[in-house]
Amino acid sequence: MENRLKTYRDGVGWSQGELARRLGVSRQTINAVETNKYDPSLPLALRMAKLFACQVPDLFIDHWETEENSND
Amino acid sequence: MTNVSAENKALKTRKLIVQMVSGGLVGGIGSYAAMSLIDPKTMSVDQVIVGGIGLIYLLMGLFVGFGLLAPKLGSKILNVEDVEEIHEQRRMLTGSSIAMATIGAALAALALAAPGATVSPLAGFGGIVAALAVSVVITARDWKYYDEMMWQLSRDAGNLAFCAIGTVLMLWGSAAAVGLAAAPTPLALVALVAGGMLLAIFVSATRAGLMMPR
Repeated sequence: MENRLKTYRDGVGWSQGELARRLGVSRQTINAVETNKYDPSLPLALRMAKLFACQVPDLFIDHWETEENSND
Repeated sequence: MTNVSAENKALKTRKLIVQMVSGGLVGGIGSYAAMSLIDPKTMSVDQVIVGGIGLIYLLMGLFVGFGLLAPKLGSKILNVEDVEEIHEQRRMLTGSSIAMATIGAALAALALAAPGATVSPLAGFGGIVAALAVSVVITARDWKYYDEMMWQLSRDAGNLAFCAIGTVLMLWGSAAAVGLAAAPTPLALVALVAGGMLLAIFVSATRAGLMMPR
């Protein structure tokens, strides 16, 4: 899944290591999320959003549309 | 492309070349050393395959172990961002280094074990039992330090290995049952499990982007 984690991380000037430490995960996990290789669990996504004071959909981009919206 | 991203790309490429060259060198030297200690012509195909898989495990374990002992050099040959990451991951890397080297040595010993050979059958089997015990203890000690991606990776590798090894065994066993193929030998079963697990870990790690140069 596409995400804006790197943009938000760069925005606050943290390294991958610093963000990993704050979230209690490995640097490899942050790197895998930022390169769209790994989708974090809902609890981790919520923690990321809390850390950057934003909503989960601001961080993670889902292109799925409901049937109603796609028919419009 | 900005100067910074071009510089990053060049650094990653250089690191990838260093990793490939050092990996190739260690593999080459390890294979040469193994060939000079034993005569592959006196071994069956199964023995050579199990010994070869053992050598891969052993060299990987030693490679990671070397990286831990010399972190500055380790940060150049292991797929980590910097020396600090080696320190952060020291516990996990130490565990996997010991487990891989122990399993590798045990597989190599098993391949050489035979009545009247340098490695006795009991020592060959005992080595495998000891290596599995060491791996279980290390895993039990370290799994509370796994983060969610490590858990996911372990599950992916386990699922993949189970499906792949199960499929091969099902087909091979069925073919052997009706006389279309020779039944798998005991060493072929060991090779299938050890090699299948190794392959599954590589595939899962690649899918999670862990094999990309950092």
